Amino acid sequence: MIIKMTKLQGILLMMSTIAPTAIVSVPSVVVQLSEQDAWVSIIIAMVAGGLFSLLIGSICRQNTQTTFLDWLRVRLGSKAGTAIGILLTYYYLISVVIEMREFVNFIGENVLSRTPVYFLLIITVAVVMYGVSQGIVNIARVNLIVLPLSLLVFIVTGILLLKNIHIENLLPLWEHPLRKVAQGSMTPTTWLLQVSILLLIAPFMSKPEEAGKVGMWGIVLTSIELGIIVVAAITIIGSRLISIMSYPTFYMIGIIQIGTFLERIDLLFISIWICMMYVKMSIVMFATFHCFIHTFRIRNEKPFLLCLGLFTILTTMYAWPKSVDLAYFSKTVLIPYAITFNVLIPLVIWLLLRFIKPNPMKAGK
Amino acid sequence: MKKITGIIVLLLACSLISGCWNRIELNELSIVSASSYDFNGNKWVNSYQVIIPSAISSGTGLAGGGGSQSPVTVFSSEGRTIREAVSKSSMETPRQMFFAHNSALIISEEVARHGINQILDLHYRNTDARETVNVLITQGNARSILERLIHTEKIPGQGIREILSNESRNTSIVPSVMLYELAMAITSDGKGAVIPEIVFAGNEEDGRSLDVLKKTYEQAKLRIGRLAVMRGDKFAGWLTREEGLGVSFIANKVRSSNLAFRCKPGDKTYNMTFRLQTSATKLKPMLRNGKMTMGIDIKSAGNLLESNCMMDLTQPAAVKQLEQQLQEEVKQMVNRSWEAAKRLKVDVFGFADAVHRKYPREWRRVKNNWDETFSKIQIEPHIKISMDRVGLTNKPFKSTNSNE
Repeated sequence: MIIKMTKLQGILLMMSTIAPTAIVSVPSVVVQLSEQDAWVSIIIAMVAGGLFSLLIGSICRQNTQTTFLDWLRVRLGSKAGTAIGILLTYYYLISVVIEMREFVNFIGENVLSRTPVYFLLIITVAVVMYGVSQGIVNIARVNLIVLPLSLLVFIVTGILLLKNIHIENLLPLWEHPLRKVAQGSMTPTTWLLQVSILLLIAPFMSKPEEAGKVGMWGIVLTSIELGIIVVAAITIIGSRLISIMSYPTFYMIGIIQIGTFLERIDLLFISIWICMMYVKMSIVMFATFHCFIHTFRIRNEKPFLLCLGLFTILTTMYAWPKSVDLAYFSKTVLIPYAITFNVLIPLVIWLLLRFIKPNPMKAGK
Repeated sequence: MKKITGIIVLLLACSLISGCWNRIELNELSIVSASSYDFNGNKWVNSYQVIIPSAISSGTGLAGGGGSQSPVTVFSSEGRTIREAVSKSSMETPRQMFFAHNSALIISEEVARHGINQILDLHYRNTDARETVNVLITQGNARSILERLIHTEKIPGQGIREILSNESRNTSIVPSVMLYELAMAITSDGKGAVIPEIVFAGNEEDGRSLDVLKKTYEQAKLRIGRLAVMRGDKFAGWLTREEGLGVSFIANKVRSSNLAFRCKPGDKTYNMTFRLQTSATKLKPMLRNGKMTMGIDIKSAGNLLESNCMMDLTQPAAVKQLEQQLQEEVKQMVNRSWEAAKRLKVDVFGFADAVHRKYPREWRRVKNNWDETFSKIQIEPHIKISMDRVGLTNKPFKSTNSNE
């Protein structure tokens, strides 16, 4: 019997796909552009992401039997299916490399400053690859433990931070023109668009036709989480100071000090965040591996898992050796890149599906 | 067989992945309890007050035993940049400096005049120095503050932090300022910040030796002094303690305080004390015909602590009169600190933020010469103090032995 994931697991999986990197990188980028109006940017991003998940849902609804790429081959022809498969493999591979680099950079800068990067990478990839080998349903089950735990830590730190909140930092409202606020919503939207991974994951759900709803809930909940973090950062640190920081989310937890016995609890948050990152990287790595296996119709998967792991380690090592390279890449290339693969490809698939009617004769060839 | 190999590999992996690279044993560290920054020409002079673990462990040191060893040692290093100076410290100490337990950071006035951006940057860029360190300023040599011992606390650096937190909790005259709060104040719209002063009262040579702890009195001691005002990251001037409390009132930083006041308008001597327990201030900027007025609404409550005034405090009218006297007292305090801030032309109250929030358009017009606009603002203090309780007696003790 093949075990599939429930709706709740799907929603939590979507949150884990988007939130871990977004909560770290979004606040400082958004606040730089729209300052105290940053929460409006998040709402715009939520609406955009929500609409987009409808599109994803309408594609997912049509396939209820087999994996996404196999289905595309049947539906759109072998060439189109393979082409899309190669593009998606490429996209998810680059995504996982970016995330892995961000992750080891963070660990290297904040926690283990003397441990060589390659060692951090080997351990990370080993854990992630183990997760991938267990399959997406098991990742979703682990996530059912990790994500609620992270929300608990989130709530506890929130309560401890209450006395540092200066709600007046959110005023004046609407000081920035809509253009700036919309520009600020670009980065969070890009993160939320990662919901397109549902195309690959939907067939593993017990009810693939509900993928649209799962995506919608995932986006709404993640946006709420993001919104709370952005508002907390503005009210606690103030928008000017946020814009110079690389990790404002962790910083604001670092200032908690209750008497002389409870301080520096950001490490607690960092620990749970590391678990979230492992889940996230496993999901995206799973997508990479899944696309790779199904594009090239590989039967014996295990050796390729090892190869892909090695390839990821080496690419991550040599693609952006300095943190400034990655920052420059994120600032210039990342948004158009993510939009191309997350929006254009699903859109093209959707259009093709509309115009190419199912042809029973072609099936199986 | 496969299982056994698996377990062996797992155990080996554990020994490898437990983060050995970052391993530092406790006895390889010099734990810094307070640090200071001075200038020598154009070089930074950093001083560190380092804990001597064997002296503070129980049984020896100050509290127990003979107290033969000083709990801390102080030394300095010099460099063109702050971290160059820190790294030079490794030439004279066998242990690596560890800043995470740094409780107090003392800067000299000279450094503050030069600007403290570099110090703030250092704390934000690195993970080892915490943003929750208390910042203090001193007029002379900052290192000399680190060299003084405090009677009741084993570690002087922590003692300084305790003094500050005790003071800001109970009297609120001088706020305790942590590094992140300082950074927030400097980056606010008004760009005005305050730093408490720490002074060493007494003979220059006193307080350095353990001998001082063998006496029951201290002539030489560390105490909180005035309030330094910063314009941006640079020193702008001093406020007295009295002006400091006014600033705390306007900037909504009063937690609790004791206020001495006169019971009748004409009285010459102060004869009553009020314990202020809660206080909240709201700044209400008003724009009338292009002129800015700042409404300062202060609402406080508390109880009477001390009285030497013939009055029947069971009468509501009497309590009301006392409240009015108190309000008058606070009003004068507010006015005095306002005059002082105008003199220094530094917005330490957060007026700029209040104006920005209420009149964003007007703010865009005035923000470039805010210092000028600031000194032309009219203030309108509205103070409401409620005396909720008068204590366990209704009349002053004086009434029992007076003939009236």
